[in-house]
Amino acid sequence: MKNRPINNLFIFLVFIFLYLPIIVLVVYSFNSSSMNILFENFTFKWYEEIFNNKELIESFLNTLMVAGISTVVSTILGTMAAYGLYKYNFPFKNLLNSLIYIPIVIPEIVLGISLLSIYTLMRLELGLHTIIISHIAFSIPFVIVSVRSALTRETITYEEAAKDLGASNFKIFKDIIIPIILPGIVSGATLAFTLSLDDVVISYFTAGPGSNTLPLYIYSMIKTGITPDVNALTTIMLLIVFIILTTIAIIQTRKIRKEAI
Amino acid sequence: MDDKKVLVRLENISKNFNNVKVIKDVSLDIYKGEFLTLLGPSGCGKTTILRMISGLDDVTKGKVFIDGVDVTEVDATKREVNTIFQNLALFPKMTVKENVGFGLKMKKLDKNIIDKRVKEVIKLVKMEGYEDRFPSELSGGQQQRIAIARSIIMNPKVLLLDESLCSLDLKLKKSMQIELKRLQKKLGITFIYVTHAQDEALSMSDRIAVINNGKIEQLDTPENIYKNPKTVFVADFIGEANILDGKVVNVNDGVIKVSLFEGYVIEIETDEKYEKNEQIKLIIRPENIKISKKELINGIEGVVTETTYNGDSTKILVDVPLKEDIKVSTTDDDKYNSSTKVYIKFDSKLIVPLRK
Repeated sequence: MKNRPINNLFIFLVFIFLYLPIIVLVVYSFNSSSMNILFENFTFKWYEEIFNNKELIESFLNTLMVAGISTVVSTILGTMAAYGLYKYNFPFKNLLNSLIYIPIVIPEIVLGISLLSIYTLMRLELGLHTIIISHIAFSIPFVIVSVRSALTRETITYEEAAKDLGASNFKIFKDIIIPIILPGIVSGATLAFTLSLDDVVISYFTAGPGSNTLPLYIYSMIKTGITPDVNALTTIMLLIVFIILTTIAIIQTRKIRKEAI
Repeated sequence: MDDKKVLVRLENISKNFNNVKVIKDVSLDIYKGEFLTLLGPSGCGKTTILRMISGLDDVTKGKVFIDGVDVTEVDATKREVNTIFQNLALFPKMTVKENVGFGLKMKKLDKNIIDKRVKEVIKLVKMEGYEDRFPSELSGGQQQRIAIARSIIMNPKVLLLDESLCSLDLKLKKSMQIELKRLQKKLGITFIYVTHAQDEALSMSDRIAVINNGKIEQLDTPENIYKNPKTVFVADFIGEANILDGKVVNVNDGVIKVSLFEGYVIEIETDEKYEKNEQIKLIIRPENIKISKKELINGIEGVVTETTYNGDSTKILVDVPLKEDIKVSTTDDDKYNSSTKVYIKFDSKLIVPLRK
């Protein structure tokens, strides 16, 4: 507890390091000058420009669709996989258990290239659907890992107790397991959604002509230098993510408080 | 229990886990309305027997009958048997009311009927007013009551209790024991109780099955288990016992003479036939040994090595010319300090001879 001022200074520096770039980005999104050097006048010009940019709006909608579908599908598949891996014994179960981590640790670029080669091999035309499939593929392990952490030894006795009271397997899953693993499912889904939302590398490899997602579009925008409309766009995205995360955090703390009483 | 109707019958059941024999050819009849305890050290297989009755584990060999019906192949969900688990396993995300009503909801009963029964049962376990709480908001004893309520609402033929009182403190344990006996008498349900605590077994059961190594060592009333243990294991596991080595020196029509050490022989009445020169074990409870500072006729001289005061009695360890110190329990007020010279004498009527 000694050296309090110095500790505080360190914490302050860490926060500066983390958040200063973001603050600068947000501030410059309101800059009337098209150069990111001097702040001239306050303006909403860039925001207007964004909302009039059809290509951008379309890629934004694409991103939402990709993230939405891949989140739903990967959450369902991942939850089922986690439950299956927890409940049943089968040959090579341990192998499968460790294989799950490979998509998490493997470099994205390798995953992107391998997915692309599979699609080519299968003569699958590239487009939004290939992006969706790819996103599902890399999201599932994250869902599995986060759901599995909610399935403990205790869960087995809950299941047995329910079985003892005459509950069918479906009822056990619906009435007992789901409520217990719900926090795991929610955090898995959140993870899947945010990963899909800002994925560039894998989308880049698996996107087809005319199937732009927002990160890909932004990436193509900054090839010619960072313009203020990119700043404005990222500010909006920042706002959306912030709102979503705050809502989840509020809901969860409320729930925890309710249960803790 | 007058009609002695067999409610649960285990017929030569065995259980293997990964080729390890956990239960070895156990047969057991449990009567209707009886409180039977499966007692044994941890890992002896008592819980496995319970799980085979409930159907949560299947039997490797043998048959399980409940009320005359072979349920060996019947799923746990369909058996009219309910379990109170060791960790209670109250569903954490459901309220007390939802927990208690869960089984009936699975039976798809009408909501009004369920509500009525839940109310009745909650009253029976004296938990009115807690209906809308979550399990985490209850104390250990309260959780226990809800777990009991959740099971008895199903009107099971047999209620299985898996070390259910272990997690409670002593006082609560005692009151729950009385509570359980009260419920059992009131409902007339057959209770099969699994525990490693011999005091629980002795005080609550109609009969006790002492289990060791996947086999029943002895099945008898608590009194007989305590007074007439059939094996050394039972004698050692239930209560305190002195287990002495002896050699039969004389056999004579229902009475044997056993030498404990050079020059000390005691006479024991027994129906069992023993050979002369046979090495046997003698079981004697600490409270059946007389201790005195004055010389006792046919007593053994010894020296006190340790005294433990227990409130209602005093436990004294006495060093005698035998392999181990003799445990003596006495209620008289004499002070027996360490290294006091004493005389002890066995009540030969209460000595149990056993083959090794």
